[in-house]
Amino acid sequence: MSEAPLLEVTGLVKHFPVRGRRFGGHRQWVRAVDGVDFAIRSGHTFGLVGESGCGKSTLASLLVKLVEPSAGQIRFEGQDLGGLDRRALRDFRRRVQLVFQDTYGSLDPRQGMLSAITEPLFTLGIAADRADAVRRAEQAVALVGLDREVLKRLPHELSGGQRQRIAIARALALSPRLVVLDEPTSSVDVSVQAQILGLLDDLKQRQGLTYLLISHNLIVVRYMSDTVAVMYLGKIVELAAAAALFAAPLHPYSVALISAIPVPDPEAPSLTELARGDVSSPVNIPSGCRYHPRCPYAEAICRSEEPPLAEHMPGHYAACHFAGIAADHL
Amino acid sequence: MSVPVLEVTDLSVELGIGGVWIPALNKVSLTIARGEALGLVGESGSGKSLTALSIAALLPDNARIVGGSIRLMGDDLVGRSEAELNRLRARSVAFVFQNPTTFLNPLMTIGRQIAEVFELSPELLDPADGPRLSRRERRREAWRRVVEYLRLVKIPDPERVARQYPFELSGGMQQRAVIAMALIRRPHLVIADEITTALDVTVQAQILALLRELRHSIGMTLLMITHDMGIVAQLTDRVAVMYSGTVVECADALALFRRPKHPYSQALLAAVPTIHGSETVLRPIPGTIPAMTDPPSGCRFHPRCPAAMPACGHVVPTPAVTGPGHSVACHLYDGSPG
Repeated sequence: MSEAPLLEVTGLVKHFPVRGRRFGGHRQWVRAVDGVDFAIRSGHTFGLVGESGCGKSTLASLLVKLVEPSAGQIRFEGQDLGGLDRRALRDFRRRVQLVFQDTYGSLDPRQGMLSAITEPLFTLGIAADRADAVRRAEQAVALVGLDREVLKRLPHELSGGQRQRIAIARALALSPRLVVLDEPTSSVDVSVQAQILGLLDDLKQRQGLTYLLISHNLIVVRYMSDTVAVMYLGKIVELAAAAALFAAPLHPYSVALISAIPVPDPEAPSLTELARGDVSSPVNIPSGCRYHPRCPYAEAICRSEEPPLAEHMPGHYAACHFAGIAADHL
Repeated sequence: MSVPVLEVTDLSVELGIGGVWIPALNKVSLTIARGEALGLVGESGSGKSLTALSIAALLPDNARIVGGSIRLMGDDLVGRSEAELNRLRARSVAFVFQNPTTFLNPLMTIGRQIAEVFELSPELLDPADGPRLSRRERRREAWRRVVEYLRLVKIPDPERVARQYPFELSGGMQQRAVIAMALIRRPHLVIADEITTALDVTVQAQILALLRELRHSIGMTLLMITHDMGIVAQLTDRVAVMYSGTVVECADALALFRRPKHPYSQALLAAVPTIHGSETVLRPIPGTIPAMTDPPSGCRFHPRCPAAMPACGHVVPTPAVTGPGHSVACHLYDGSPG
């Protein structure tokens, strides 16, 4: 267990300025990621769940270096991403891949699939020549269970599931170590979702991959992940092994998320409303515990003091003054 | 037996794509009794939204009804003129769409746009007995009802929200306002088409809990269109499963979830991951949903079906009743030669 983590994030912060100033006031900031720490072990799947505006997609962009952090550190394979030279950065771009949720948006409508997959092989200097690139592309599509015929197609000629497989193949062609999956199944049907999840599971074993899975779908996260972090308004509010988090969640927000899932069983009533109202704005983050305006258990201390992410049981962290209080509701 | 709120019989619809008419719905039949909630489930391209649009007489120009009937409170909608349809559906069907922001007018306050209903259907404001209201009284009565319905859908501080513009409300509150707008006409049937897909999970739970409550408090009759088997299980009494433009199975919700009969229903339920997570094995359905332009012969599901028999490739199965309120369109249950 002393093995160094593949990815380590400490005190990560990203604030975006709000366009325009308030009349006569100060510049406002969207505190998208507001102090996040976690580590991902090699070969594991780390699931990150949260609702819209919780900062999960900003976190993904930070991890693949699409945006630069305002503060904090990201270490990949022990190296600080802040201090990479050009060559190291190019190598990093190969070893960490991002698969987007919107396959329409991430594939050029006029670019054939062969070129979509081989383009990064050339820009990152992986393919020796054209024949090598084609060979790698053919291997990649075979890996995701597609016929090589699809390489001749354009995005609109493929089904949603096929496009998602192409997006995965394009990432895998670069032999990455870490794949960031941003809502990988949110745009496909249930029967196709099961295919994609099975495929991702299988590829992880065969290719020795590590996943960071970002989703608003708790069930998908539960199904895929070893470790799960729950994010709320830019912070991790609970972090634990997947089985422990879903069996005995400590944070009232995690309990609310889990009990909000419509259970596919008419005799198991769910949909308890445990979270009040809507997610607060990441511009005006509430004082104290940022979840307190929605929390049915909030007390005076929750409005004044921000609870730290503390270890309540071995490996099970929660940021709540009354961790475990909502447990009876599951 | 009273007249069902909705009775769709052998509805067939064609879509015009590239100058050709392509069958999109094939003999779809559904019945919803007063106060009942029917879930219409299926994956994309199954025809569930097209069925809903047909019922609300909102089919796009490139779609045409080529057979069957749609009876709302006993009145057949098929073959009516636009004016007659407007009158019929104004009183009987309310449609709630997926995205409230595209449905709400951004330039009008919530209260004003809900009150517009009374300009289109002034008779809604007329008291059952007694004298006709003056203009001023009508306006006051309209506003009173708007606030009452905003309160019914659990919008906090409804007097204030009625004076706000859509952008001032969160997605969940906007969807509540749209539901209030649908209910204020006291429609016989509410059609909800994927209404929580754009919402966060905790807000979705609030909206679904609201719908469940409205079923009890005002006896709302509901056609719930969704791809989420969880929502179906939690909210509906009966379920119709659609695949490639046909209803393959129709049953009580409990019967469908406990003992699904059609191989597609079985496969669909086995493909849904549950919160028990990795202990359950997901069984994906092999292959892909057939294209509408090139549907398989015989049973539409046969190329993906684990139980396919020779007959399935060329004979279209007709719905067979296998139990009370349970019908299945599959050769396994119709006794035809396999």
